[in-house]
Amino acid sequence: MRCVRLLAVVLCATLGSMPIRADSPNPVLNAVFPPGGKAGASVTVSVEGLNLEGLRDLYVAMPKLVVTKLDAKRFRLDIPPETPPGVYDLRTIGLHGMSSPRAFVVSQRTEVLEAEPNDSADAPQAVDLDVVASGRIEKPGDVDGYAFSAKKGQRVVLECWAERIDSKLRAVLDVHDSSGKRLAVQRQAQGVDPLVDFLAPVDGVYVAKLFDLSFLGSPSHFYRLDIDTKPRVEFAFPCVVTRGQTTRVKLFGRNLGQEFVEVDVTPRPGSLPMPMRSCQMVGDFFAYHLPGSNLPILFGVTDVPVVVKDAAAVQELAIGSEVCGQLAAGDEIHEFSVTARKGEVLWLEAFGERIGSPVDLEVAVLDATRNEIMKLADDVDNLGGYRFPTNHSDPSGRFVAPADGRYTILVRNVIGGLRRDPRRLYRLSVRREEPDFDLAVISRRTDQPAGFNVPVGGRELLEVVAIRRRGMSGPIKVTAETLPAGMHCPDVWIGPGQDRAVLVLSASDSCPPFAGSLHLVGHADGRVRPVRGGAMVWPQQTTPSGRLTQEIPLATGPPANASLTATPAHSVVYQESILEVAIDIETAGPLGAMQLSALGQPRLVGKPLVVLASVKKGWICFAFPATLPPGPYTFALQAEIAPLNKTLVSNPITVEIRPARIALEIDPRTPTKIARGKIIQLRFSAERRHGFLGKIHTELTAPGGVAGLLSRGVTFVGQTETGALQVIATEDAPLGRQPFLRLEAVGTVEDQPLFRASRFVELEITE
Amino acid sequence: MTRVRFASGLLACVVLTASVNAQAPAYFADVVPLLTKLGCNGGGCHGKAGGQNHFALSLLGFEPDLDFESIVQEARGRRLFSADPKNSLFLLKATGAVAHGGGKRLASDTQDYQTILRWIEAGARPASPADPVLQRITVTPDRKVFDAATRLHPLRVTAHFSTGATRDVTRQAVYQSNEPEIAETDDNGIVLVKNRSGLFAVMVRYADQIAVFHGVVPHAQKSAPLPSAWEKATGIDQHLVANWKRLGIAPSAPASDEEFIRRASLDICGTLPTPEEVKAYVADARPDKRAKLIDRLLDRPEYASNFALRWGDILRNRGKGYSTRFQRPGTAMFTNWIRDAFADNMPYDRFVSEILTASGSQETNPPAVWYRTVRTGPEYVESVAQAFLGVRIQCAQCHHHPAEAWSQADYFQLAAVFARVGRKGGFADAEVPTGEIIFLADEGEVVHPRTKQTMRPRAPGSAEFKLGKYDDPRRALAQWMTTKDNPYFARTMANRMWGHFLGRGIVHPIDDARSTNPPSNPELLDALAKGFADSGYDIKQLVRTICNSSAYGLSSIPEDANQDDVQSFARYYPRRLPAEVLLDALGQVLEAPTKFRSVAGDFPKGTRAIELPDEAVPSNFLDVFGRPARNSACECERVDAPALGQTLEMVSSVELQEKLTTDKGYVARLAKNGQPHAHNVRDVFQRVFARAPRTRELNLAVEFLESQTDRKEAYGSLLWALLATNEFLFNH
Repeated sequence: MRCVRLLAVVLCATLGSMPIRADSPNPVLNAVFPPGGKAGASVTVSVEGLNLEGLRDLYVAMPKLVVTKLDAKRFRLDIPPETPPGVYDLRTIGLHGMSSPRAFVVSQRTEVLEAEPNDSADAPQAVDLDVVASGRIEKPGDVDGYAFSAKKGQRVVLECWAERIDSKLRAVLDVHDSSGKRLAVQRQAQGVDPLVDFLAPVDGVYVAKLFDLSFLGSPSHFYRLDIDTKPRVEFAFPCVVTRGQTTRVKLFGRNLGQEFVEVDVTPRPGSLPMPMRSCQMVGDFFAYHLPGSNLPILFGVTDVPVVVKDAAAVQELAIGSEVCGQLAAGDEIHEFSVTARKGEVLWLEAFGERIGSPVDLEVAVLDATRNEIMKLADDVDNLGGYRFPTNHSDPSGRFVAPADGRYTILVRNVIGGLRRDPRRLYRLSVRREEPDFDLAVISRRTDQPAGFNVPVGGRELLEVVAIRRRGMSGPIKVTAETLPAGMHCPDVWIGPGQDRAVLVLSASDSCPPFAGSLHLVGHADGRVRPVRGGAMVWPQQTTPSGRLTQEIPLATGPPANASLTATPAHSVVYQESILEVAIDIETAGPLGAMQLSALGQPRLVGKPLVVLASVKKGWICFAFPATLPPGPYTFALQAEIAPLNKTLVSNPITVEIRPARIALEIDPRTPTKIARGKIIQLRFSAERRHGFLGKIHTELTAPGGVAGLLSRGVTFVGQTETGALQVIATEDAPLGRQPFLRLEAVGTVEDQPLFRASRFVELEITE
Repeated sequence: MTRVRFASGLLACVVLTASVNAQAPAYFADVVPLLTKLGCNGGGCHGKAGGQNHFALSLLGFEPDLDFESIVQEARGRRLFSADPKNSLFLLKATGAVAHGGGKRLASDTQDYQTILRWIEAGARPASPADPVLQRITVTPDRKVFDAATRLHPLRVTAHFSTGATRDVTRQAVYQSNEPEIAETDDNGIVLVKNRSGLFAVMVRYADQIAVFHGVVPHAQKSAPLPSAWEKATGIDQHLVANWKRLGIAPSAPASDEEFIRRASLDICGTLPTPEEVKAYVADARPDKRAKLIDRLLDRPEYASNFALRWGDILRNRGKGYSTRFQRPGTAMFTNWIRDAFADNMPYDRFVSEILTASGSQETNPPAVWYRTVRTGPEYVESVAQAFLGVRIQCAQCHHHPAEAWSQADYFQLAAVFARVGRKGGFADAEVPTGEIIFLADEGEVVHPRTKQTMRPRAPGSAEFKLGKYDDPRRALAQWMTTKDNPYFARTMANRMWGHFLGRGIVHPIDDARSTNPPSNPELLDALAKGFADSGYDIKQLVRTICNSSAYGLSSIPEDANQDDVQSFARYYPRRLPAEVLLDALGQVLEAPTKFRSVAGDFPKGTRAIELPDEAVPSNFLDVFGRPARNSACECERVDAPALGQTLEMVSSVELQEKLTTDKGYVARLAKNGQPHAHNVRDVFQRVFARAPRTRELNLAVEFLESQTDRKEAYGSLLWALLATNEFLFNH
């Protein structure tokens, strides 16, 4: 299907003397060191990365944080004492705008810095207990050692934070006694980060050593090592609570003084200062911090009653409930039953990977005879691609009861293995078809992590991805709230059935410098959902690495001196018709070869690139197929000017797609060539649809007018549905294929042109 | 010996008409065994895949139904001529009356010819379900100790049928000796003993049944006198003594303390003892100093590294390929997990079960990395069978195992255990995908290539597993494997470890256990296996049992009374150091650790070859000295055979040259220490050979050193020469 065409007509070839400025370099923050500090204390951090010239400030969503610049890449942070412990995002602000984020941990423990040399067996760095040591495996083969004293029977938890705080380090952690004998080792406990739960066998000095699994090293191999005897919470049961209710939960962890601690928790909106992977953009969470423990944990929040898996062999569930269970044994199977009437629709959704649980869930539905009649599928659709992978192994699906009766829902873990693991929690929601959605906004860059920087006088394009749940298929409107002065962000629509749209932010020429956050919300079906921020962690990894950010950062960037304006011919477009969009590049300087493309166009519309040479005005055409569901859609244009290393982004184009009222077809026997001075008949049919009875006027047209071809339009009235245009090629008609020529039909009601349909015409002019 | 029979249902119905001699010959009972005897269905003739000249038979007649079709029905029945049976092509070819690529296999005046002829004359009938079933064959005698006067001995083979009838099939049976250098057999079952002493076995095959004759050819007619200490041998030593008595041989003298500490250090830790360790051990007067030494060695991290290296080979922890940098975290993690398992003395049943049932991400669950290299049905079956059951079952992928009871059903039912191993995620842009998630898939089946039946999971020799829809067959396999009465599991590990320490398995090769390749000392193997299982599969305890045995403490120097012995462990069998151990030993002696290149930069200083994560760390020295590519689960892939390249490596290796010439090494230290040559030579010998130099050696070395003007060059030359000796290169 030829869906997108572009006609470029050189209308303005005047070349000015002021060149277009290249795109501002993308500031990338690779490392902040130390990657954390203590609440109520000052910490001097250094930053490393790409394009971090002219740094003037750091940005952390932390109230009352005081940042003082010390030199080009060092800052002092005065962390307010009331700052809740957690993992925050830190970004730099400099000449090129705000950088991509790196995790910065606020603790309530004493912080120490690695002091090299500490890499030989006999020269570890002495530290006290209950500290957090920040360090780096700076070069290949580096080993960092920390010596601590412990009493016999003292339980010391050593936990390394590396991968979870954006480090490249794949840490190995081991503990030795004073004779050098290794007493414990861990390579993966919390994801790939190691944790050693160490019981000191005798009073003595012990040495913890950290190194990379493959003996790699660099400044980006940073870590935080907790050497801790105080309470640490790892997970809660249940791990999901009902919104607006207070729930008694058990907290499990280490050094709690008992197996678990019971507390009452009440979900409250607020920040989520803990690492969250990109696939966790679904659902609501809230953070809870047990006083005295190291860091908060996250609870899921649901709108329906939460039940806890009990000891029953088969537990009855009400439709409209969510169950929380624990598959501690590898081959454990939990069964639930629901009663449904024939034709009743249920949506089943399991949460395992998305709540950080080390499980791969499988959910099946059995009928009364225990025949498996449905198996829920993993969500393998990766909306964010390499930069923000949203796919996961949690199954979900729509179940239509084939008959009245009781159905068994079976939940198991297919990666259980032989060992027990109490952390294997899951959630299973059983709900009716109540559409819902979740949104995240990410950078359009796929090669590097990036911040969201809007050039003064220019535009920045972001991508909003939507995960639709429980049958949600309608359009979603995304709106910016409380924009800073001088910035604009028109509403955009994620069209029906679509999973993404572009969001275009612009800053006026007079926009004052800004660095803060952007608040976006999505509206659909009467629901309002916040939009979360997402970011790539590291480029060029074997597997995609992306995570959620604490908030959506926004800053102004260096000024732009060129703009791309897109003007659609119509805001209402019918299926099976072609939309002509005029483009206009405003700049005083010359242009080089340019690639023009559409961004965020609906999934069913193709996406070819068009290469132009030094033009500033033209058109691009989009053909909308009959299969594209009616509704609003937003997309934008992008012009990449390679010689100038410049990318221009247009204003967003929002169109309303409506059902076709005219089905226009060109007779396939129509000649595809015409000689100068000759005449051909262009035969076609125009069938009225959906109750349209009015006149149809047809004519040959092209962006900027048809060149070298003459034809008189034909109007159908009454029941006429076929006709022909007589096309004459003038003696001086330009040779070759007339590009982007189209036959357009306009349906009128009471002489008002309302409905349109169009088809491209393939016609080559010959001698 | 109990013989376990695993024949498939089809082969189990091999039958014989009891009154066969009086009536027409039966196809299964008379004709098929003849084809085997005559070599028609051998692997080099019509029994090979695809047959020979368009006539295909199943290998050794294990698919008689198919063979019947080939002989009687194929090619419009052209091979048999019922109107004139003597002119059947089948007979004309066999007798050489018409051109036959296999030559003349049968004379027309023999009883065998008459058997086939009569079968054709009687209508060339297939087997009838009513025919008696051949249940077993027995060989008489089933064991014998030969003496000088008896060099020949006939075997008698009897077939036993379901009706209770028996029949002498000695002449129709096929015989094969596993030690042709000790004894051979002829076509009529006559055992011919040669001039060499030792143990041998003769495999006897008739139809699909196998029996084994065990022979002993003593070293001397009269048992050599055993030292009195041996007469009181206990534990596993008593089994050795019994065997030596049977063979008429006597063990070598005990190894010296210096020899023992060097041997044990190298075998347990892959590491040379330091001169200080040797000195302290020699000076130790305690009677249990060997046991204490072994305990000390087992507590050292080098023990875990040494065995992690061996198990990295067996478990095929491969890093090779253009994407080594992507593979390395996985191989490193798996190697470290194996190392931890040995260091922590993880029970062996747990160790194996963790691997077999591994699930989850290969980035977070190290045993799941096993599934990175082992990916296909054949790889699952062959790795499991060879690594954990000690059997080679590869043959059964295409045909019934020729020397064992393994059928294709055994093979593919074991493959079915892994049919539901699912894989997802990971990084596929590599020679081998890495970082996959291993999970229990909903579906997956294995189909028997011939019968097209879907195979139900079971282990070789076990009943079919009783599995629910959501059960993981791998757990059932692990459970079957690790029960105490499993006939393979404990024996395989016990044999493997015995082979590691004694240089040869009690079953040899160590992963080729079968009734036709019996253990050289079954009682010893049984005792080791039982002790291992009873200990809760305690690997360190198994090492202690072996290393504390008197056999392990014997000298490697043969004596008259055990000159020919290569089976009964009457002396320690010397063997070249494994590549990694040798390279580390060179580094240790010369105080010049090897630098190993990582995927980015170097491994930490002091990293030893036995600690490397996989075989993809570049090292020409290691490759030349037999580092395996980890292409199979067979330990035989690690080569210790001599090669010209090894000599050249010792002569012209840059690696060795650097170690000899470095300014920070042992040679430079000797050159600078100002000590008399004699003092230094003693130190050199202690370091290289773990012993003091003999007077002649000392004098020769000092004389050489004194003749040289460049002291560093001189010590370098001396060490170079000593390091190239077998005394250094071998564990002995």
